[in-house]
Amino acid sequence: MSTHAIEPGRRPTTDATRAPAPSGRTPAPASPATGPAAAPAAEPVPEVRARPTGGRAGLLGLQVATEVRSSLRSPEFAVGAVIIPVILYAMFGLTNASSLLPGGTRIGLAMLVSLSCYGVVTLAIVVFGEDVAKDRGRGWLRTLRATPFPTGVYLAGKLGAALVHAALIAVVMAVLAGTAGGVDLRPGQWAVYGALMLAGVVVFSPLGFAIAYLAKPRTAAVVANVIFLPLAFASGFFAPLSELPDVMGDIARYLPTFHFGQIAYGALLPADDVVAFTGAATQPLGAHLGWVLGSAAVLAAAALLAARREAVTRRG
Amino acid sequence: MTVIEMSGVTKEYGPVHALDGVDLRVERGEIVALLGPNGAGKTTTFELLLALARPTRGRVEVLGGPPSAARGRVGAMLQSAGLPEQVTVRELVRLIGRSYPRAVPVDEVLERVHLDGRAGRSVTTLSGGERQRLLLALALIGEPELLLLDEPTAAMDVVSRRSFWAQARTAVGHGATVLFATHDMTEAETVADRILVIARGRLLADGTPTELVGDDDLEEVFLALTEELSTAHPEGAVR
Repeated sequence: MSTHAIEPGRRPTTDATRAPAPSGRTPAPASPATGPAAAPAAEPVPEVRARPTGGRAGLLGLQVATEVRSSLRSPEFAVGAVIIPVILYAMFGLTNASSLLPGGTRIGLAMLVSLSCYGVVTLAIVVFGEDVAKDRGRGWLRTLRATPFPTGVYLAGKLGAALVHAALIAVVMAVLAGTAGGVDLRPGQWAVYGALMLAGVVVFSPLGFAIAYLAKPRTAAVVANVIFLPLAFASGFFAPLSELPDVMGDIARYLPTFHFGQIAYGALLPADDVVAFTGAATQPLGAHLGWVLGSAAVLAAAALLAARREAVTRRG
Repeated sequence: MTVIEMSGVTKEYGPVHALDGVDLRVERGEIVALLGPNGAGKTTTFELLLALARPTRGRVEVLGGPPSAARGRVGAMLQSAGLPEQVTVRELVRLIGRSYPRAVPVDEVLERVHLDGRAGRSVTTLSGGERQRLLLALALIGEPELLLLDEPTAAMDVVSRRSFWAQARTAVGHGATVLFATHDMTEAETVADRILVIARGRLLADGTPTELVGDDDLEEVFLALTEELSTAHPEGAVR
């Protein structure tokens, strides 16, 4: 048979019988004789929306549990995300813990706030960004998109796992500060501290998300660190702005991490001690909130656009 | 019942015409092979069927509706599909299974793809063939009515390959339909009810293995078809 004569886009016109179906297979119906136009009309099928078994909440819970278990299998994750802020606090917070700021606040408390902020922002930017970027780079996000697994649940699951880790950071830091550091807060203040740390993960996760989608997967970790380390220094997490070059103070007022720190200090320290510890003049709470929430919204929009662009234009 | 229907589908990526007026219909219960050289448009076809891309022109329907509406009824193995790290085989299959409206029990699907002995292992420790079988498990977990498999057996040895197709046939026995892309002519000839040949975004032939091959060799037929197109449309001329 000369198949060279097969007209492009058409089936061959021989009357050869169909190859026998392998055993155990349902016999297939005849193929259309001349392409779609000659085939019987498609039987309408009612649209079935993919509803996860157990609902979205159940899927999210399972995703968070899977993420947390997964991170526990990575010792380097625990070291990077949880232990480093604790070590820094043990090294720099506890050594001066009993020293007092002019308003009577123990340095141990001020350092607890600054290094906890550093820890949760690291978690949100570096860990979240790098983790999502890795999944993107190794093709897992592409695999997921071919399933009914909602991308929103995937990201919410990552965020949920980051919140669990942030809670762990906050608890370990609080225990260390409350015991070895002599930090004495009322239960309500401890609750405010914990809530602020969790909120920090939520508001800075869009930056991590943006890095994950805007940077090349292989460079995401470097990009995240290049962005985060100057942010952490310029925001006064490691040293008061008054001890850094003036330009740092000028830059700081435009950084969401600086404003997040100011919110956290302001919630737990008297205003005078915030100024004394950070070396920066206080601003109204609304201004700090505006910067933090506004930047989160802008970064989330940028990340969503990048994710959408990738979904639409990617060529396999 | 028609499971896949593509009418006059063109997909352009800038100046590149990945698909050029493709008409295609696949009926329930068929196993259809999609053959084509690299860059022929096979992966683009799968992406359109999975709603991972939208056609520039033409109409794509899966299970009687838009591809995005069929997602919970389709299982897919994509070329260059990846897996996450530090998660076990069982955790991953359970997680993805939970996203489908209905799902095969995890242990059952792992047994079907012969990964029951690896259920507690991290996916990073799996061999290439085992990873492919895990991807098949993820494709099968939702009891799909349609399986879209883009070069699914590329990393598999002979035993794994046979086992893989046995599972795919079992799925067909349960009412599923299979469209798979491959570069392996023997696999296409022995597994498929129907073979489609695509090159430069155009569907060149569509027939049963017997119809296409006759007394000839499928590889020769394939080369003849694709070379014919190359002669008729020199590089870059197919638009």
